Amino acid sequence: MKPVLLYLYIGLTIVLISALWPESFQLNHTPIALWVSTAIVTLCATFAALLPAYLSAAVVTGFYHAPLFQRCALLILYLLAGMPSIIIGVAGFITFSYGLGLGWSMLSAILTLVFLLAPTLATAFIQLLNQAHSDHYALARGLDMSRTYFLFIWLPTLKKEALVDTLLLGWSRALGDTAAIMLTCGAVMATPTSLLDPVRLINYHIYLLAMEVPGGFTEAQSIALLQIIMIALLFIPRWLLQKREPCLSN
Amino acid sequence: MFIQLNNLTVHINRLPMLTIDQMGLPPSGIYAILGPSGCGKSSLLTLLSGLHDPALSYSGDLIEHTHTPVRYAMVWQKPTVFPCSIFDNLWVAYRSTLTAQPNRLHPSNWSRFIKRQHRGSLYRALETVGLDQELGHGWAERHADTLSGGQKQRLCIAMGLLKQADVLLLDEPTSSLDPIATQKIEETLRALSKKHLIVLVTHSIGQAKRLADLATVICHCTERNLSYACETGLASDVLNRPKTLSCKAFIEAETG
Repeated sequence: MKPVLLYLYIGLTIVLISALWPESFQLNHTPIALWVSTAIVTLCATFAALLPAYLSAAVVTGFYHAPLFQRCALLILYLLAGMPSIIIGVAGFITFSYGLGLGWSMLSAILTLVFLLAPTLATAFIQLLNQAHSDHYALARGLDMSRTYFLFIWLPTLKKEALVDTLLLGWSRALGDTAAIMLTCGAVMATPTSLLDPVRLINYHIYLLAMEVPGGFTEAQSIALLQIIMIALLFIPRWLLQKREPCLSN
Repeated sequence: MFIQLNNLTVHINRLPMLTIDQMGLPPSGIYAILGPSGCGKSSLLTLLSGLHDPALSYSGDLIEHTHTPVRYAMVWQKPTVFPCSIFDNLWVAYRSTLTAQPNRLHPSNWSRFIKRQHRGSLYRALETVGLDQELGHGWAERHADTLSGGQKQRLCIAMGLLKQADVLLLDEPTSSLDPIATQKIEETLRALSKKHLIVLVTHSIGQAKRLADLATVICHCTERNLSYACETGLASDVLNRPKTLSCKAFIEAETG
């Protein structure tokens, strides 16, 4: 536990120092500039996805009694968890880079990665909370412990290792999807000084390659849209089965 | 009487499940509740404890004859403890009583210094349930998962005591334990009943006869699909000389 925290602490310190005083360290036009950008994007996305993922998992596992929200959360979770990262990248590119006009910025990359990571983290949290719900929540209720205290203070204290594992899982997935920044992209020349500085996600990159089809941009977009719909349709039976599971277990 | 239940109906998902005409719980002693599975014994305990359950509601009177609100602690059927040290298990129950501190959720209140100050109180709770001798000197650091089922249940009772509970609600606490562990829990309960009220839900007529001062037998009416408290009174009377046919049938079925 402690070495992991130390590792994260050292990493964050390097990122902060290099981001705040890049000139002093002569980091521009070096691989460290790429590394710093990658670390900022992936860590920000991971931490931003943590809370929504944890809350969704708490709703899905029945800690909060909101049947409608629970159904919606389950539907979104199953759809997003089953989506290939490239599809989420395309959606992110269309929404954030193109739609909101954020371009190839770190901010659009972070927002896209949040959507990519949230289902992965939520799935891990659901397993954790399911176990806690059956084993420890009754005991906590018997001791008058509030739900908020149990979820946000006591359970993280008890399950430190599992939480760090989930955090690292999310971060590694984020790193996997931003590898292009280090491998292929010349967009990062300097250590970033703003969230609107340029970076490029691997799935944005693939999207651009995918657009190079005969017939032009419009045809490529319609093919991409069809693919998204087909994948969404594929996951509906799975979601329906998952929805029926509680009835079967009763 | 300490707690009085008059014309109480327990509803599960808005459907009536259990009716109790009259039940009076004294300030101390052991009160046994017996009945077939699914008759609403555990729901009654949950209702008494005040734990929020969206499916559970009641109509009728549930009166507490006290100046301050009654504090309840619940011990469940499955011997479950938190996966941390015995000290931390006891501490998490005890911290709710530290109301004098301005912000008991603040991390500084979890510091070793504060914890060390209250170590004596936690140890006294272990003494009360008879775990002090069994666990020895290294009790505080020992992981609670290494305890046996019976020891876990007694640790849960100790946690309830640290909460300064007036009433201990026990939902079949010995159903998954061997006879020796059951005997130790019964000894603990007998000692605690001098100062606390213990409401014990059990399937074992023998256990109720050994422990209880008062008892209620709940029976199920299949025609109305409703459970009801068919007999209430001194445990020796209710369990040895039942007056109603349904109560007699239940006791004979349980004792074979």
